[in-house]
This record gives sequence, structure tokens and C-alpha cells, in this order.
Amino acid sequence: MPGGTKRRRAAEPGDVSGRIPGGFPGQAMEPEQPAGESSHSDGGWLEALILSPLRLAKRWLTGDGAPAPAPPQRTHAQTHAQAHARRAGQHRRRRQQQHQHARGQRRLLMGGSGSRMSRNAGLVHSYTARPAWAPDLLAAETASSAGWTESQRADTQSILSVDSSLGLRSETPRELRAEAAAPEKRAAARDAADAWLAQLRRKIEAALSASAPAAAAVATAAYDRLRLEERRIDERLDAAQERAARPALPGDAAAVIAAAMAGGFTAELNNVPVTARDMATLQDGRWLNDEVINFYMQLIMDRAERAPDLPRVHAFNTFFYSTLCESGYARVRRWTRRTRLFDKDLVIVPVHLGVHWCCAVIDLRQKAICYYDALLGDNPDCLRRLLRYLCDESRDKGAAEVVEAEWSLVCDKQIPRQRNGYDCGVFAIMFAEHAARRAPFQFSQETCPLLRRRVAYEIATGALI
Amino acid sequence: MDPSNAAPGANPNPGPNANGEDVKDTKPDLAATEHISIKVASSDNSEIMFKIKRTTKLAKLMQAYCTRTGKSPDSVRFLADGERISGDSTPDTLGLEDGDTIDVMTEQIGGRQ
Repeated sequence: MPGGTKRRRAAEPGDVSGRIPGGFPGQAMEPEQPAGESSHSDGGWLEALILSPLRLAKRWLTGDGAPAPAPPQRTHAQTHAQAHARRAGQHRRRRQQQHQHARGQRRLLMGGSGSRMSRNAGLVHSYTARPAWAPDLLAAETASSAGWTESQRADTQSILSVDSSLGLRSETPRELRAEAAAPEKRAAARDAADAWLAQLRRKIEAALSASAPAAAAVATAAYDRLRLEERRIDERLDAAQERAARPALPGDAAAVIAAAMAGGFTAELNNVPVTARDMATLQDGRWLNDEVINFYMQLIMDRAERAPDLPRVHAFNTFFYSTLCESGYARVRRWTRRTRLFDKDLVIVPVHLGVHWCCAVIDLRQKAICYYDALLGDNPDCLRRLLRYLCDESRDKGAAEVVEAEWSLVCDKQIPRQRNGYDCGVFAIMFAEHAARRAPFQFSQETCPLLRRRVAYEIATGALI
Repeated sequence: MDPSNAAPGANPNPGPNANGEDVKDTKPDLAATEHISIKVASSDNSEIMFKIKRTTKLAKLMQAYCTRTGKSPDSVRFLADGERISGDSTPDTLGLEDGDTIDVMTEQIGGRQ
């Protein structure tokens, strides 16, 4: 059989003789198929294979004992003419055998029940919904079953019936066409496939459950504990690495931070003010407010302007995204009138979701929008909205057109993760700060207390370390 | 002031402003050239019109808005075209025109989802 498959696959599309099952073990039998007119087309052999069992079954069901029509002579079968003539006398007998075969297969498929129509559908289906290698089996079976033993026939039947229950689609357009012609057959194929898969699943589950389920549960709990432990160790290692990688705060940092959180402190950068009240939100365990984040965005832009080797960054304030959401593009249209947005490399968009801070970063060079949520939340709406914004903005400002299809929208989950209920603002700031210099995210929940002090120090002194 | 634009809870007939004579509600009969109308729009879509001199510091307008709406000055941020307005700036320094809008945002805080 594999040889037959190979031959068939190797045949050129126009090579008719290579496509007929003449190269199969049962090659001599093919011209005897009562295929009628359809056998004259170059795809006729397939229809013949499909139609002949159907006609046989119909004849059996209606009790019509008329002999099959004489097989048409085909030029491509002339090399087999002698064999044909020799076996012509066997024709009638073989028809009967195929007939019986069909009955057996029908019973196998349909469990001996159902209407005539549905039984016929199931029968024909077993020939139409077969994988590409099945024509070999089919040709052999329909052609030479006369010389077969019962067990061989039974094997073939079972293979073919499994094929049909799998509902596999054949590959050639011709076969697909034949299949498309009979939607009710396809429905039957799907049902059979579902039943077969369900049965297989039950067997697999039974086999699995037999092998010590209790032990598996214990192992899972132990595995989870180990995973948790591993994660904690990883985080401690990351924190240690991060501490080593970043310059330490100066010795007077504690005093500077304390002063910034005391009453009367105010700082201002590009008209963005911050007061002691806002600075106090950087104390451990407190929720950060918009002023701290907006001030930090100014620091990030300030740094990018001073350092020519860093990406050019524009950072929106925390109200940009909420305004865009609530009022649409028209309300934020003028927000970039002092900025040539499309001359930048990166655009940072702090995202405030009621009680949660996230961060989105638009990479104008790589045409990607990334969304960073330290709680690993999804926000496809945000990504789509920002892409929509870029389209509107480019149109409004006369920049090069933003083609949506070229952009990738990424909700990154391989990021440092928040494990408490108050540090998301710190994470959002850090996502922005690292992304602004295209640095890998080297921070973690472990270092958040340190990062809060660092942010407070940087705001108090008006520059990033 | 146009009553239909009144902020929720705002006094519909506030009378003289407690904080300064320069900040006044719009009246149809008041149209001096040195005054311009500024619309203050909050994110809940309520709008209040103020008439203000081009050279008056916007701190007065902010104060008047907070007094009017009962909001704490700590909890609101005033933006013109997305940029934070400092209390020392004036309509002239910001280039505000008659009928321009100032957006009022409310403090945002966040810690978790």
C-alpha cells in the first residue's frame, strides 16, 4: 500500500493514467467498475468508487436484481484489456461479493439500525471521508476482495470504518468536491468522528485513572510547593542582582526623602507639580497617585532629551488614556500640539483602570504596542484603542499613514509580577522607566520598597539616577 | 452662566464670587474686550463657563471652580490641551482664546485590581 500511495502522490496533475488506480495491486479490476458516464472524465475513477457501492446498496435495498451495466471501455485501460476479458466471467460473482461486503460494512457503521437513507449515507460516507492513503485500500478492497480471506476483508473493513469515523478530509480538490456535494454525509461523518473521539477519550481516561490517582495528587501538591519555592528564590536572586546592578542611593537619601514627605515640600517640572501630600503616597504600602506618576513621566522625558543615545520618548500623562476612553480622539487631538509624536521612538501611556495602574508602550520604530500589567491582566481594548489613536493622530497631523495591519499588539505576560495589593503604581513606573531605555525589566516585587525610596529620591532631586 | 451647563450641585445663582472680583460667571450683557469666556469641563461632562481677564492668574479661576463645585483643590488638576496649568499662568501666557476649554481631572490613585 505505501508504494501505491507514493506512486499516486508522485503523479503529475495532468497525468491521468497515473491517477487511476491502475498501479495498485487490484489494478486490473478498475475498468469493471460500473461507473457509467462519470468514468469518462479524468476524475471518473473517484466518482466510480464512490458511486458504485451506493448503486449496489440501492439495488440491494430495492430488490432490483438487474445485472450491472457493461463496463465502458477506456483508452487508458487498454493495457489491461486482456486481463479484463479473462475476468469478465467473474464479474457477476464479484458484484455479489462486494454487495455482501457493503452490507457488512453498513451494519458495522450504523449498528444495524436507522432508516434506509441514513444507512446509505453512512455507507457511502465510508468511501468519501477517507485520508489520502485510503484509495489504495479502497481499490484493493473493491477490486480483489474475491481472492481474500475473511480475516483480510474484516481488517480492511475495520480500517475503512475507522477512517470514516475519524471524519478525515481527503486532500484532492476532486475529492473535496465529491464530499461537498453531500452535506448530510459530512454531518454523518462529523457525528461519527465525535463518537469515536469520545470513545477514545473514555479509554484513555480509564487507562490513566487506573494508574494511582492518589499518588498523582500528592505529587502535584509537592510540585506546586517546589515551584513556589523556586519562584521565591528566583525573586531573591533577581533582587540581589538588581541591587548589584544599580547604583546605591547616596548616604543622604533618607534625609532627602524624609524632607520631601514632610509638610511644605513642593517641586515642579514642566508645570507638573508634586507636593509632600503626593510624595507621601510613595511610603510603603500606600497607593501611588497620578501626580507622582506624571512627575516621573516628566523625569523620563527629561532624561531622554538629555541623553542622545537613549530613545526619543514622549510620555503622556495619566489623564490621556482615560480622556481618550471617555471622550474619544477629538478631546485629545490637541494634546500633542507641542510634540511631534511621530518623530519619537517610544510613546509611553500610563493606564489608570479605576484602582489599578498599568503601562502601555508604543514603539513607533518596531510598530508594536505593548501592554504591561503587573497583575498580568489582559486589556486588548486598550491596545486596539491606542492603535486607533495612532491612526487618527497620523491622519490629523499629516504624518505617514499608520497601517493597522503592520502593527503588532502585545499583552506581555513575561514581566515582573505584583504580589500584593498596593505596588502596581511602582510597577507601572518601572515598566515605563525600563522601556524608555529599552532595558530588560530587572526589578521585582522583592525590590519594591527599595524602588519606592528610589523614586521618591529621584522626584525630590528632580533627576533620574 | 448657562443653567444647562451647570455642574451638578452648583448653585444656580451664586451671586458675587467670594474669592475675587475678576472671576465672574458669564452674563450676556458683560462683553468687555479684555475679558474672555473660558469653559471648564470636567470628565463627567459637566461644564461651567467663566469670564476672566486675559491677564488674570488662572489660580483665581481654579479657586473659584473648587469653591463652586465643592471640590478640594488637592483633588483636581486643570489641563489645557493636556498640559498641566500652573496657577501663575494667565490666558495670555497660555494663548487661551475666547471660548476655549480647560479640562478638570480628578485625582487618580491605584494599587491593585
